[in-house]
Amino acid sequence: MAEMVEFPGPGRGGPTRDVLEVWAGTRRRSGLAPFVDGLRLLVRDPFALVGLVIIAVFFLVAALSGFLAPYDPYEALPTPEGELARLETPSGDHWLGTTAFGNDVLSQLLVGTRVAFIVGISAAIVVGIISTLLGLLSGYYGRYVDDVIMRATDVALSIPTLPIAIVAVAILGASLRNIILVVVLLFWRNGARIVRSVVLTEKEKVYVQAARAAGASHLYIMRVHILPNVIPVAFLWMTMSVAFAILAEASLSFIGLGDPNAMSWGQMLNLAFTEGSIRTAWWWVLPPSLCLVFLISSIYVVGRAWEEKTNPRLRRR
Amino acid sequence: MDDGPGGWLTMASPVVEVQGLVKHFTLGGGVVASMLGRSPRVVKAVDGVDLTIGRSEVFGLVGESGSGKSTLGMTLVKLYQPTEGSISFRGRDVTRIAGSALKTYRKDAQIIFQDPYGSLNPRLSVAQVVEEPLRIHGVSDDAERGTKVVEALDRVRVPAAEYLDRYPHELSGGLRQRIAIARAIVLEPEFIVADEPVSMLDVSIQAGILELLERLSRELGLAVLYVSHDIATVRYICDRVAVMYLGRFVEYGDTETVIARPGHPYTKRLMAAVPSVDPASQRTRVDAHPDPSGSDTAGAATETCTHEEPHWEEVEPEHYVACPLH
Amino acid sequence: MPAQPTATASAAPISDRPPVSLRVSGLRVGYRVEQGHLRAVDGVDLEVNPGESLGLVGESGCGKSTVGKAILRLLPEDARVEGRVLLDGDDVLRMSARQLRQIRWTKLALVTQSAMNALDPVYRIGDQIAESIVAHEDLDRRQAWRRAEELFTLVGIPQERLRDYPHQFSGGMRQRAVIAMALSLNAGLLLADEPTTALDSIMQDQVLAQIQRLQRELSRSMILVTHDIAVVAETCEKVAVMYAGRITESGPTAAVLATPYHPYTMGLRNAFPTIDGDRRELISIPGNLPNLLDPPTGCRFASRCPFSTDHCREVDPPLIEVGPGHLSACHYPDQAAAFRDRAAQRSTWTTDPGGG
Repeated sequence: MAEMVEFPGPGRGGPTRDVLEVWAGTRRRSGLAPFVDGLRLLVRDPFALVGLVIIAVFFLVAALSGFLAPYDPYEALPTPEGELARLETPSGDHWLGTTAFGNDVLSQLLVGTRVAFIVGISAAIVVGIISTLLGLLSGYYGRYVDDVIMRATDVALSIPTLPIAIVAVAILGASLRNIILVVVLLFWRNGARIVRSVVLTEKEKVYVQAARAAGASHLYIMRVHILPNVIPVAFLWMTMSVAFAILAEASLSFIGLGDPNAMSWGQMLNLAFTEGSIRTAWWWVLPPSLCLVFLISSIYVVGRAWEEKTNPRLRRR
Repeated sequence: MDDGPGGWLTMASPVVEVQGLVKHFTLGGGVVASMLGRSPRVVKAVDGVDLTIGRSEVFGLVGESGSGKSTLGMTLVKLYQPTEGSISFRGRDVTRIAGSALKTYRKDAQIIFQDPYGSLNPRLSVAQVVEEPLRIHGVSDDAERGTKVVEALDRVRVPAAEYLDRYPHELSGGLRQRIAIARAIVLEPEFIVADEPVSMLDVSIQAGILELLERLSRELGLAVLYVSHDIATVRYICDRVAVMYLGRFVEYGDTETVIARPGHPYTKRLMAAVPSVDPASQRTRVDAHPDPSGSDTAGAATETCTHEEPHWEEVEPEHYVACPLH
Repeated sequence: MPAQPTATASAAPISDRPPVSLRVSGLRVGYRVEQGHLRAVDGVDLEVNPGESLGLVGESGCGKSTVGKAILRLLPEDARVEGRVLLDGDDVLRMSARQLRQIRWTKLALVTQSAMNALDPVYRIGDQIAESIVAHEDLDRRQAWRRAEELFTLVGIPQERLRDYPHQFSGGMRQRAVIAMALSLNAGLLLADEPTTALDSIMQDQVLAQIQRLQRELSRSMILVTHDIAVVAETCEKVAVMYAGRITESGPTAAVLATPYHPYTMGLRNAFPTIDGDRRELISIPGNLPNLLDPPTGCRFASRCPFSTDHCREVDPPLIEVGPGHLSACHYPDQAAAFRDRAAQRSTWTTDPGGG
């Protein structure tokens, strides 16, 4: 007996499409597609585009800093007369002048860029992994797992940020590794909570139940149905962590808790301050300050735009 | 429920056989609550149900929301763990299986959900949605999956070439539900729970989906549990029907018999609620005036008898009513 | 009528406003979309006399909800609306924002599909109803509360439950509470958009019974928008069947459903499962709505119609009178009886399932 069916609507590829070809076509979409889509949306936003370009320039400079720096950032440079090139204003030899110790400011600035990226990116990666993992486990499994993880974040959240950072670095010792550690300790907690809230809504979707009924393992469901919705959120949190980590490193360095072996922007400001040059040697103070402002605001602008694009509720029509 | 209509329940080789099934939910439980000595509230969603479904049979289960009919369906496909009672599938006890035995059962028992807009992941194409169960069950050969997906789409009358690379948001509700059905049959199961599969669709396309279920059941020898609040749709695809109220069956039997001579007040009420398309038929509404208690559930007659053990009576051949009020 | 609220008398009788008449003519609603101009509603005329109830039926996407929204001026800003919507003679489409606010409360009330969205979860239901009464009428809170109590009695919910929050209500009760809210301001015309679609049969029956009783007792005018032809059969005096942005058949419900003249109406009737009488075959209408970006010439139902001819595909059928107040947009009203017989057979609809 013939049966009634809603027949296909206005044809798209025409009736001659070959089934196997269409099938093969559906195989090609990669797992990175949401990212590519997100990025495509980002470059359409003029603010985000400017932010992306600034970040890219900083990143290039960081990667090539060893090659670009005209002098050794720690070398006490002499003037042609053989004296220490102390607090020289910008000139052809020293584009950004020199410090009270006769170091080349530009070289320090370039190396500082590298330090900023090392701290920011490593902290963000660790924060991203920890928050995603704990948020997933907590939100997906619920019950005791959730109780334990959420109580842990409660405890972590009750710790005041800057004081504990100061104390921790003071005790553990001033090194880049410890600064990253402190940033991670302070930043995973909110990340895990944000990820958890996404997981809580996602796991109630009917299609998750459908996958479960089809025999999918927890790992499969998390990977295929939940993670794709978590990643944009986790990624946003990671960008914020980059900015926070750079800022935290700068703050700690400024108050003298920076890694003495890494010439970061905060370290530069700290030295300018302790030498009493903060109001006089503008060429020493302004470049690292401006770099901090530009890099961090760019990250925030891009993160904000990303959130807007990937979260349909915030998308402007 | 050994008082039940045993003869009607047993059949030569049922696909699914349920005995004394109970599913209780505990609300307000938790570590903190238990430490504070609060006793959790128990909701008796399914409270003692017997049922068998045979090969190529579409069994109807009707009741309003809150009757426990969806919980029963979800328990049968093991999305919920039964509290008491037993479920056997082709003679094998599956009540408490786990691990690989459960995974095998998941291949044999599938579910179709009410909401075709929520049951398909919007990020996945039709091809990916339908092949998902195959992937889960380790069919690693891409070409083999392709063949099976196309075959399943064929069976639900969806032209594969046209729809494989579409995404759910591009499809109408009826088509989505067909895709959901294709996904359910792609593993060649023997038992399918269809949980209100047409209640969110336009009346004009409901018939097509009902017909499809009936045909699939016939062609593939599927045992189907058709869950619905609408007793009128049950009539078109089910030979047998059970009426559920507050976690228990109150009436069951041959569909035409039950509809022609409903024995339980609740069944009568469900039937009276079905609007008629014929303006000449002056249907009398059971509840033309509001229920003074303001509750949405049935009247006092049914309230009293569900609190006791049901007493089954065979009011006519193949037609059983729990404590009929004569 | 002059407002004379006293402390003892029920503050204001519920039915103190006359019913409203509505006349929609030549209504067109279009949207500019990426692929072109989408004609969601393409020339619709409707008439609701004071105290009358009209059912507007059709499949998803036929434009019935758009008509409802156009009447209430609730369409998005990018919609292009033409035609007239005369409410007691005043054109709603040409009203200022202020006038609109006034008629929205006094002449037009909406009962929506999703009752949950209409109620704020953080306030008691009674407070929400009383609040809207106080905001729009010259009554104090006590009087407003008293009217809310009256309304709850009307819709069959015990008065004390006014103090509940929305989540304490079941789906059916919430829907009834929304009806009470819609009635709270005595609007002369009630527009119900799929008021029972989310409910199961018993609740649907109760809610419809309420709506119908209130509409008759309080002699309000009503438009009921739904995909379910049986709901209209039981609730409305008149019916208009919509297909692809147009009215295909309209008239007194009894006449239209008993002796449909348009094959689409016949199809809708056949697709509906019944409980009484013998089990007849359930027949769904094959095919989809035509593409509204580029509607076909001639009759829009032609591609799905088992009786269509070349003439149908070329010439647009006008609405012609086939009985008292009964209009149908089919070229072959004289063959309607034969069509009805053939339409009741499944084979009529299945000859060409693929369509192309």
